[in-house]
Amino acid sequence: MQPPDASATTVEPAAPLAKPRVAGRARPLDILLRFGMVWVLIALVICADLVSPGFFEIGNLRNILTQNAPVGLVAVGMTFVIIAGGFDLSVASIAAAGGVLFASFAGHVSIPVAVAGALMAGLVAGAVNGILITRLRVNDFVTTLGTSSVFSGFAYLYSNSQPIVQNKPGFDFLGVGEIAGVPVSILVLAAAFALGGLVLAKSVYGRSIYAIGGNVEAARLSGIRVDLIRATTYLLTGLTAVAAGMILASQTGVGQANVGANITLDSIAVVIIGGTSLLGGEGAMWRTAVGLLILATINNVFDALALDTAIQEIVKGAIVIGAVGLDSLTRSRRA
Amino acid sequence: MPGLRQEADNTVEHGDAGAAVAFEGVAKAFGAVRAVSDLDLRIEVGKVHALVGENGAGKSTCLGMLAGRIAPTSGTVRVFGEELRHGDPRAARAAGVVAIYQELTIVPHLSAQANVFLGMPKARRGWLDEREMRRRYEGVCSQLGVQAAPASVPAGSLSVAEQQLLEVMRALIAEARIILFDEPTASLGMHERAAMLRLIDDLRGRGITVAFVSHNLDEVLGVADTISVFRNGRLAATRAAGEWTKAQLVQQMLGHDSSDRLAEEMLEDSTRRPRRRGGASLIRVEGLTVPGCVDDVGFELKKGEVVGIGGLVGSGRTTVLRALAGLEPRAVGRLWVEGEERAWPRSVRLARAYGIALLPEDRKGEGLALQMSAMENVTMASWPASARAGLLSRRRTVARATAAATAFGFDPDRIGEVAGNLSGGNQQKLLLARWRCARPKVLLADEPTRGIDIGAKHEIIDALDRMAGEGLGIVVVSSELEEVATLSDHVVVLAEGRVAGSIDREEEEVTMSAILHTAFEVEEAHAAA
Repeated sequence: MQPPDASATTVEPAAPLAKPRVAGRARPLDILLRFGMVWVLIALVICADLVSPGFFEIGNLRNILTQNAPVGLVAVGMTFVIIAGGFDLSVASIAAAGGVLFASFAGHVSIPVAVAGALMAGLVAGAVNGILITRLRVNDFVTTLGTSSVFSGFAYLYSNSQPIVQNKPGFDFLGVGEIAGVPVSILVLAAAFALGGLVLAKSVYGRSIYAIGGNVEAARLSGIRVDLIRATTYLLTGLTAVAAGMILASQTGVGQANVGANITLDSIAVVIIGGTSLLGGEGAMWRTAVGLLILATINNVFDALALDTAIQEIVKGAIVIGAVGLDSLTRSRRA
Repeated sequence: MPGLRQEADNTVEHGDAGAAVAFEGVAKAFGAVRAVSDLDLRIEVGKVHALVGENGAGKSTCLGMLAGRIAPTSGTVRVFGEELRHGDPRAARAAGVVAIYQELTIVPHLSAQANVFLGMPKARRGWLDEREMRRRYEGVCSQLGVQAAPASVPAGSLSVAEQQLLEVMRALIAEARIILFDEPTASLGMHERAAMLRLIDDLRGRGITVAFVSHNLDEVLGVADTISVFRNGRLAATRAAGEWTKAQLVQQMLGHDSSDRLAEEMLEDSTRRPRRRGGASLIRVEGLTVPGCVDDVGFELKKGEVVGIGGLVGSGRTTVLRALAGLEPRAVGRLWVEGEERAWPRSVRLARAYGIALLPEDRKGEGLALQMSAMENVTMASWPASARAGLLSRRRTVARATAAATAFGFDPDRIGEVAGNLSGGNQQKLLLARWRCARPKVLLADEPTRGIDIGAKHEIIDALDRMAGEGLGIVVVSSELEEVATLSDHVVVLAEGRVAGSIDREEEEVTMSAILHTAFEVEEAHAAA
């Protein structure tokens, strides 16, 4: 291309780009809806403080976060997958297998090596998902439904369906250890959110993920490596799922193939409640954080009030549907 | 680019030194269909090269192969002498080729700026450098002499023209040496069309080679240096633009086997049809308002009459049709159906109950079930009539579909074919046939000939004319003002969502210039204010 030569030709404005338009203006209601879930969280927290007076105590806040660290971690990976327009149903199985492997490895090698080994297994599981989805072009829903069963079966086989008890010193560091008075699991969770949020919002990789989820054909034709990037998002869920499984195992001192079955639906629920679109291309890491806090607050208040967990499930389901309903409502308003 | 000419010397045996693009014996088959065969074509450096031809003639496939979107079945594509890897958009882009497709490759939720840098963001060690991107964004805006859209606005909220401009900016930032346009002006209004053509001219001034596909022969003759005509998947002729006339182009596009009569007819400014006598009132609309789009629109449609809705793109034409078809839940207005006032239809079922049917603009998206057969598509709106005791009868379906479709010149032997495999013209005939089966009183035709080749266009226009003659009321919207002028007995001209004026054949001749004049009067009055 030739260097821009301003004097060569005087070009008339090609199109009125900055023409004021009637429809595109931000209205107060739109702003209200855009941050809808933040208002919901604030309202929930206020209610929580009213109905269970101990809510804001440090001990309770710590509880909320450590209990929800596994789901929160997986939700970080899930945010990448969902914004890229994908879906991962295998995370609970990967988490369970990760916990089993971590407990087993810790019996043979040092804790850091066991952590690394389990994380490697998570990458392998993610790679299997990614390759099946992008190379064999099996639908993501079907792929992860299938691998979920496969990974879970593998965890049962590996552990002979028995809990692997691990008393080695240091095994509980991830789950109940503290650094400077802050639980390690909370630090891991915070680091995952901070790093994930930064990568999603500010990196080339993150921008590519939005492009793929928003318009896959446009991304492909602009030279973005669509398949490669989609596949890597499953590495992220594999990695975060294993991390979640390790925290669970570390908290209980046991690696078990039958734990954490709620992780899949809860992590997806957290992403959706925050307002990230299931259709892909739209969303943010802070939204997932808001979704996690909403779900965690509800669980905490219900526990404090000693309400039936069945009622929790009903409320959780209603909130997921409400969040998606709100999402499509704002969508149709904008259209 | 003298340097490249030198480098290309070692490929002289291919005879392509100096050509920006050279197709050498290229062929592309989609299954059994040969989209392009024996293509040898050179595109010279720094020239604007137009590709014209009927739909399915192979011109878009040709661009697609150059852009790496489509992999040729055989042959070689060279860009500046270098052989291009087949079917690899990244390789094409690395060679300096950027394509701007008719279906724009915009990511709606990303900002205007992010879209311009899609796939090639400015970054340091993997982290986006937004400030540098903003600087380049504004640089390209001033280079093109356009006002910058606020870089942070989601691209999906911009107009089609603005989105297209983002793609051109993307090409400039990619330092494209060859820019391909597929129908660059098809979805633009009058002003925007002219601006787009100026932009192409400006790109040529910067030494960029431009290849474009267009249906609009006047535009092609106006802006191109060289014009190639495609026919039936083959290159029919390539000549300098000055050596073509519009008549010759049409002749070449249609080939020798088609009659001269058709070519002449197409060239006539508009074919005058006898004025129809409007019968009883079919529908009367008053005060139709769709917030943000249409404001206080009214008109009356009589039996056997065609009402055209004229105006520029974005004037609310399509919204009026969609509101009548029950697709705009926010529409308010008063509607009389055969003299009786009825509630405004806010659902398709209600609109159909009034006898109103829509021929949608987006045939593939809103019109056809592409995987189903032609006959099933034809009978879709009236399945109960082809059923016995609730079970669909194949014999009846075939009979009804064939009867309806052949009335529009559809080949009865293809009635069992999958709708997605048919050409645009044949697909439109299926949709017309669908409403013939369902017998509505009012047909709303939105861009009835968009993306349809010249021969079939004529058949569709004739079909609409004939249906009006049989007593159907038709409301037609088209970007081809010639069509509106040709068909309509009465034209309502919209501008910015309001009625700017109306033209009645009883009082004056309905012409393109009358429609444009009315539409622009309002715009200019606004611009002056």
